Amino acid sequence: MDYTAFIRPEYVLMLLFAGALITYFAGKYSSMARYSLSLLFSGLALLMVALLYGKNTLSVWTPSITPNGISMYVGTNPLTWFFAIILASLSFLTIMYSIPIMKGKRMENWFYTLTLLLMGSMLGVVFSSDLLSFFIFWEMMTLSSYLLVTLAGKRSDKAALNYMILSTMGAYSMLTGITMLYVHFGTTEFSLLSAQIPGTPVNFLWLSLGLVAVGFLVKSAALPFYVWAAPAYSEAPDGFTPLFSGALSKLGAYGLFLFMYVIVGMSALIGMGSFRGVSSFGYAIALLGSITAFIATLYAIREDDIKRLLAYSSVSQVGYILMGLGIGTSLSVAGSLYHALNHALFKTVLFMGAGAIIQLTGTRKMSEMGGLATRMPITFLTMLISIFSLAAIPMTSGFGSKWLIYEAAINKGFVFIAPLAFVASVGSFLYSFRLLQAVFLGQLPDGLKDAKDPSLLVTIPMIALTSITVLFAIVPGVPLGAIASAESYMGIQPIQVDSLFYFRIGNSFGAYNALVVMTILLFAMLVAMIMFAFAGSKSKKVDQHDTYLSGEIYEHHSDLGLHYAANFYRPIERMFEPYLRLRLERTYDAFGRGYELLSEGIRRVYSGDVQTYVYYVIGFLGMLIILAGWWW
Amino acid sequence: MVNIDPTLMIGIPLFMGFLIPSVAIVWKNSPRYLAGFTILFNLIASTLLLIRSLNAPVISVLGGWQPPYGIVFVAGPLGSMLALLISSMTMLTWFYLPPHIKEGNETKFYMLFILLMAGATGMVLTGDLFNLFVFTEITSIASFSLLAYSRGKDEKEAVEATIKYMIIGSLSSAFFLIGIALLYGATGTLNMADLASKIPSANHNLVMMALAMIITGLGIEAEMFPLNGWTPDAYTGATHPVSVMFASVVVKAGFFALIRVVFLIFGAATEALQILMIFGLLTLFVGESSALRQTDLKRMLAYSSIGQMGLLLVAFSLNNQTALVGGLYAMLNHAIAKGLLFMAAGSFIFALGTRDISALNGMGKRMPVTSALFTIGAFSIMGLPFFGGFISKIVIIAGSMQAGTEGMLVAILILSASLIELVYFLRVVHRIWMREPEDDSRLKEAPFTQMFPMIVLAAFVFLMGIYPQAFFKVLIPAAQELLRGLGTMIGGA
Repeated sequence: MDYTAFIRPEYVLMLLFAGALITYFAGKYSSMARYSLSLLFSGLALLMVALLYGKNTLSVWTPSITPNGISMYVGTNPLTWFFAIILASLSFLTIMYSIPIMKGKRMENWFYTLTLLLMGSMLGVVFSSDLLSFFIFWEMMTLSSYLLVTLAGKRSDKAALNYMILSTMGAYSMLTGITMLYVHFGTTEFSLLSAQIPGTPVNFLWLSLGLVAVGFLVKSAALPFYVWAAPAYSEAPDGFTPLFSGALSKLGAYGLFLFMYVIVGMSALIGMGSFRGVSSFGYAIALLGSITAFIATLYAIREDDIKRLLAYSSVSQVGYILMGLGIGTSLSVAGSLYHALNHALFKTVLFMGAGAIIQLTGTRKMSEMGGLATRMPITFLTMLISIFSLAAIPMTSGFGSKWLIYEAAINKGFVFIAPLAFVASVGSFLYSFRLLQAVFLGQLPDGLKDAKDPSLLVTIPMIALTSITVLFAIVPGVPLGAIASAESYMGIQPIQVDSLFYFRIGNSFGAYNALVVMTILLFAMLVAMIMFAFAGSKSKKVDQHDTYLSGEIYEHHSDLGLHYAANFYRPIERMFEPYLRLRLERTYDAFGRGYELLSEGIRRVYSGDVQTYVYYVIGFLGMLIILAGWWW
Repeated sequence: MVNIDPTLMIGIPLFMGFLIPSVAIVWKNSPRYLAGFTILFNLIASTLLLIRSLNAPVISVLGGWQPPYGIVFVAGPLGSMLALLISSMTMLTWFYLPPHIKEGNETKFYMLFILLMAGATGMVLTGDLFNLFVFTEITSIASFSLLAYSRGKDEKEAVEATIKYMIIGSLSSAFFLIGIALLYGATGTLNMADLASKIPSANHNLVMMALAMIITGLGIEAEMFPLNGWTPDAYTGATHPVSVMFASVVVKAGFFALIRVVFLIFGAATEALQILMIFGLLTLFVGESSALRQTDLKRMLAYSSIGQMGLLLVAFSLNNQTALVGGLYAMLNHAIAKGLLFMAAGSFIFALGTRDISALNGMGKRMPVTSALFTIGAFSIMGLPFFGGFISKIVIIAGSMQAGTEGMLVAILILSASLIELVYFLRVVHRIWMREPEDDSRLKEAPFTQMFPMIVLAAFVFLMGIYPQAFFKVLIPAAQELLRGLGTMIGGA
């Protein structure tokens, strides 16, 4: 039998949805069945997605659900594939990682069912080729991720509810936008829509695209909507956070790519107004992205909670992705897609590592950890490399993507966006250094003397993802090849990739030869290590508290928060303190509380007193009669 | 195919209503079965009627007196669909009844129960305005009495709610009757089709006055703000199956009567539609906002019903085919899902002995089946994909988008209200599944006879979400019927 006939997106989705159901019922009876089935289904789906490479399909996936019989499509194309492969591989690896991490946790069976469901709906979002399927999968994704967050129990209640409310607000805004498009064009299929876009009134495009974009900005946790992100990422179960931050947060960017470049298209986007050759709409997105990146970095710097730190870091990195996406040049879009990939790689490793450490130490506070580098060498190394990638240090693939985005911003001479991005980048180095320092270096607390690396199921995904980070740093041509074809699908001039030697990214501004840079850096590191080896013999080991206690007895001051990770960046915090106090969360909270108060007032309309109700009736009738005589 | 005259769908229940007390004297357990058979008859008859009316409207003349002098029954796709909805909801509620009826009072209860069905069926099938009034009265009186019929400690509350409902309800019938009298004075006829053709040439002021009176009168039945003061108390005070009947049958029939008068008799008078639109939006917001802070489960569902009725008013007053189909879909979905919610809530309250929402913590572990059914109903009302409410929501939004800029504003308002709804339903569902119960002893699930109607309703909620085409087959002709008006239907008879 020809198996290739089954390599179609609709079968991937069917497999996952059926798989979720089967896993639920089988998992009720045996935990072994639960683990193996969820690994099997997600692995099979990953394999199918991988085999979809280079294909272009489009097919009807379900009988219509609209009164006028509009069909619903799924399909795949280079842009879709690029995101699908990220989502599928992260889902598979996260499921593997969750087996030891989620063992014995609350509602464990539901966790696997929902993760498979989430994987299916995320892939559904990227595979869907019409507005209605897109929206349905989008809603399913929101719902299943909401449920996954709530699995953490009472602690996550508020975070989950806020996530759901904001996401639904975004989804409804999106629904308004897509129904506008549908009613105006009479079709929902993407290619038919984009064929009709030229000549559409500019105001209409601004309104519909703006409404749709709100939904995506919420999901990407961009500026006015980022308030859900840190609590939801950090309160979610440890087994879900890597997927949440690594994979799900990219879908907002995917949606923007889809609507801005595939459906509306570059020329219509420029037609909506442009600023230095960049569409105004895109510029707005880029600006929001850069401000988000900056603000979230400031929040990340002052966090002591490891998951919250990483959560804010996610928000800020997704800001970079939006920045590149909005600028919309060949270089920046490539950088944005590449950064999406890199962020997926390193943030997943970081959250996985954080989850493993939290399970080991039982705390999320970094000031209660320390010195784990020697005890957990694999975790340390993988997280170290990922942090390098996060901080865009050369030798990791994170450098390549940020470099592309900066270059695009500088090329366009964006004096506001580029500096923000730079400052945010310095900030990301600061917080990631702190993470490294506080968790892995310094003194080992007494309780953690016998800490050791987590089981293979945790370390294998981390090692796999880290090796990809390193590999792509040396051969950036591999991912950039896929990115270039996604770019040409979106109608953007594809980035030049030297396909023969996968080592060079070239463009007008300059060229980056990964192999040369790597060699030089390796050499420099070697020199540094040799120097350290000689100097190291002269160094003297002291207790860390000696540096600021000057030999006084530690016990007398143990309540002062003398851990080196406490108040690590006090000066910076002090500098930004007045601005950081203006938290957007308060505005949302105040609005929510205000509305609840208002509804408490509205409820009083129903006084429970029948005389009042009679007055209402008579008053209503009187009003109608006056209207009838006077106005009609 | 057997043709059952629609008149029998009123006649048989009315006759049985009188037969039940007499038979009960000799055979004590008979009322339940007699009522069951009557409802079954109506269910079969309305199914057959729906199939017939999809081809051509079924017209039945009473007693050989030709219209416009005699009374006619007119069953188009819309009327027969609602008749089917009424009889099937009554049938399912009949299954749900037993533990909620006070012992020793079954006879009266079942008598009133089928009278309620007969009245509601009459309201949706009749083609005569005065006849509509009569059936509205039958329905109201049956509802008053059923509302007062409560067991145990809720009795006092139920009586209070009944008195409120009766006072407001009598205002409703008074205004409705005055409106009919004014119309009769202006046109000299009471046949709906005849009225529709004569109204354009009648005295405009008189007709508008009549319209104002009728909107007020029927607005009360349709839970329109600010006429719906009776609603929260009635839903809360009523015994659970009666709450189901209110939400799925009585209010739907009242709403349909309102729509029929405005659309069919007054030919979708724009002035009336503007009023309905504004008050529909108000109803939507007031209902949903009042539900937001509720701590009483049934009261929350009651306010949510008010909100949904507001949504229906908005959808219908948009007056285009897409919005009407969406509105009808929402009407079906609400009847089914809210019926399911009231049944599941009834089972919760029956097992817990309190209506307090905070008592629902961890019910997912204590009563898993009922909790799952409640969740399905809630998801459908929230409009999540793969449930009926999702389809109605997107179709209504698409319909409102067709109405230009104002339509877009309407869409945004509908969606904002929907967001409020999502919040309070999610809070309850969250409590049921995610919170730890204070006392995690397993509670007894409802017996299968009570579970059966809930499972059927849940299945329908799903079916509406995944295969809506089946429903559109009926709803699209029904919407077209409303848009076309009565002119073509009865040939001016």
